[in-house]
Amino acid sequence: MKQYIMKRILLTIPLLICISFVCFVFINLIPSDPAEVALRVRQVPVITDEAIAEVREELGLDKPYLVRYAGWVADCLRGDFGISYTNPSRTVAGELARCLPATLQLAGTSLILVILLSLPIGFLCAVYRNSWFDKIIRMLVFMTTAMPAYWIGLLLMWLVAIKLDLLPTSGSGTFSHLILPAVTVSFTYISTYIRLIRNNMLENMKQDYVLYANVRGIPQKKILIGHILRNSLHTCFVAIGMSIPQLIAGTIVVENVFAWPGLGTLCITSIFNRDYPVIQTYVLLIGVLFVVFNLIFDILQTVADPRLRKEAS
Amino acid sequence: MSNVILNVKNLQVSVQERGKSYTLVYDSDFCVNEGECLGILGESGSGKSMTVKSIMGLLDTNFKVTGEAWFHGKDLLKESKESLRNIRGSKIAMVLQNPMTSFDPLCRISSQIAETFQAHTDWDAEKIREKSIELLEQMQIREPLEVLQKYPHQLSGGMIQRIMVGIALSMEPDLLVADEPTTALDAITQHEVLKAFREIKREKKTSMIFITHDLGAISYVADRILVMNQGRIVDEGSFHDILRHAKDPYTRMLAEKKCAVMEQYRRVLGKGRGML
Ligand SMILES: Nc1ncnc2c1ncn2[C@@H]1O[C@H](COP(=O)(O)OP(=O)(O)O)[C@@H](O)[C@H]1O
Ligand SMILES: [Mg+2]
Repeated sequence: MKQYIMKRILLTIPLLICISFVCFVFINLIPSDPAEVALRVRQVPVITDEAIAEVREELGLDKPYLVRYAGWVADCLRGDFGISYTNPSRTVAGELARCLPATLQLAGTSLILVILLSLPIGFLCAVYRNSWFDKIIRMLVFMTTAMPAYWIGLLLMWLVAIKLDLLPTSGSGTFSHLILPAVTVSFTYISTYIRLIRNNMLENMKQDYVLYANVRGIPQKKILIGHILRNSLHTCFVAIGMSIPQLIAGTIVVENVFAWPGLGTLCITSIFNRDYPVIQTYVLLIGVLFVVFNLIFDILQTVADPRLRKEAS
Repeated sequence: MSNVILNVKNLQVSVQERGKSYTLVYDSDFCVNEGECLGILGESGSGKSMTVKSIMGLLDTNFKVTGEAWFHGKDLLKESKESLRNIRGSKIAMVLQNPMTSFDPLCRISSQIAETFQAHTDWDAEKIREKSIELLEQMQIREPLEVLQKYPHQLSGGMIQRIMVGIALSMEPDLLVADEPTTALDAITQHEVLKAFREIKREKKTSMIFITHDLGAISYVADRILVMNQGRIVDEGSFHDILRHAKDPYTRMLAEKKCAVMEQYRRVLGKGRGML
C-alpha cells in the first residue's frame, strides 16, 4: 500500500512539470511585451527603448526561454512567485494569500450546498423513478445544465436582491453576502450530481447483488442505503472529490458578478492590468490543485475499495 | 400422492415496455410436491427465471403477474410486499446463477450472511457468528473463520456458490429454488455443486425447483421435469419420459441433441460417468 502511494505521488511529478511548462509558455505567448507593460503600470511618462531594455534586464526577460522557465520553477519551489507588476510593493504570494480565504469560504459553502442537496434529491429520484417528483427534477436538471453560471448569477441577483430586496447584491463580510454567490456557484454542480447519483443508483439497482439481497429477504431500506447508495457513492466519490478544484476555479466568473473579493476577482483584475506574475501563479495554482485533488481522491478510492486495495498492496 | 407444497395455476407474466405489453410466461400450471425436486428445463430466454421470480415477488412494478401460486395456504401473488419479504430467504430460499456478482463487492462475506440472519431472526451478534461458522462448515468450507473475513472477489466461484447454497439452507426453507446454479461454473465445480444438491435432497428432504438448460445436470437431481419453450410449459414427465417419449417436438429435439452429445461424451471418456 505504502509503495503504491509513493508510486502515485512520484507519477504526478511529470504531470506537474507539464502543467508548469504549459502555464509558462501560454503566459509568454500573450502578444504584449511584459517589460512595456511593467513600465506603463509603473506610470513612467515616456517609454523609451532604453527604459524597456533596462526593465527587461531587471525582470530577467533578456535570458533564453528555458533558463527563464527553470528560474521561475526554482523560485516557485521556494515559494517565491515574484512581485506584482501593478503593485511592486506586494508579492504575488501575499496577494494570493490575501484572496484565498474568501474563495475557500465561497467554494466550501458551495460544496456543502452541493452535497446536501444533490445527494438526497438524487437518491429520491432513483428510488421513486418516473414519479412526478423525478420528472420535475429531471426537467429542472435538464434546464439548469444549459444555463451558464454568470447568467444564473445575474438572474438571482435581479430576482432576490433587486426585486425582492432580500439579500445584498454584492460585497462580502456577512453570511447574507455569501448566500447568492454560493447558490450560483453550486447551481450547475447540483444538477450534475443529481443526475450522476440518480443514474448511478439506477445502474446499481440492476446488479445481481441487489436481486440476491431481495432473494434473501433483506428489508428494502437496508438494500437501498446499505448497498445501492453505498456502491453508488463509491463510484461517484472521485467525481465529487474532483469537483473541489473545479469549484475553486469556477468561482472566477461568479466572484466578479457579485464582487466577491477572492482569487477570481484578483485574477480578472490582473488580466485587465496585464499583471503577468499574478495570472501565471493563479493558473499554476489551479492546475496544481487539480493534480493534487486527483491524487488524493484516487488514493482514497483505492484504500476504500477492497478490490483495488488488494491489487495495490 | 404426497402433499403439494407449491401449487401454481394459470401463471402469466407480461412486461410493459414503451406502452406495449409483451407476454413472457403464458398460462403455466405446475406444482411441487413435498420432498420432490422439480426440474425446469429450457434454453435461455424461455422464461424459466421469470416463472420463479414472479412467484417470489422479485419482479419490478412494470411486470404484470396474474394467476395463483399457493404456498402454505397463502396465494403468493396476492401477498403484501412485507409478507413476501418475510417468506423469501426463510420459507423459500433461492440460489442464483452468477455467484461472483451476487454478493455486494464492498461488503465482507460475514456481513452479508449476518444481514440475512438479521432479516429473519432476532439473534444477537454472538449467535449470528456461531451460525455463520456452522453454515460454512456444513458446506465443507475449510477455515470458515478466514472465509468470513473475505470479500467476494477473494473467493472462487465454486466456493461462493456453496456459500450461497449454505445461506439458502441456513433458515431451513420449505422450498429451495435453484436458478441455473451450475451454469457459470467450470465442469469440475459443477459436479461438486450438483453433488451438494443431491445430498440436500437425500438428507434434508427439502422440496426443490431446479432450473437449468443442461439435461445432464437435471437428470442428476430432478425427480420430475417441466420443459419450457418460449414462455410455455411444453412437456412434463420423468427424465426417462422426456428423453424417450417426449410429446412435444421441441423437447424431442432437445433430447436428441443431448443424446448425440452424450454418446460422444461416453466415447471420449471410455465409459459413462455417474452423472450422465
Ligand atoms: N427486464 C425485462 N424486460 C423485458 N423483458 C425481459 C426482461 N427480463 C427478461 N426478459 C425477457 O423474458 C424472457 C424470459 O427471460 P428469462 O426468464 O430470464 O429466461 P431464462 O429461461 O433464460 O431464465 C426473455 O425472452 C427475455 O428477453
Ligand atoms: Mg434465467
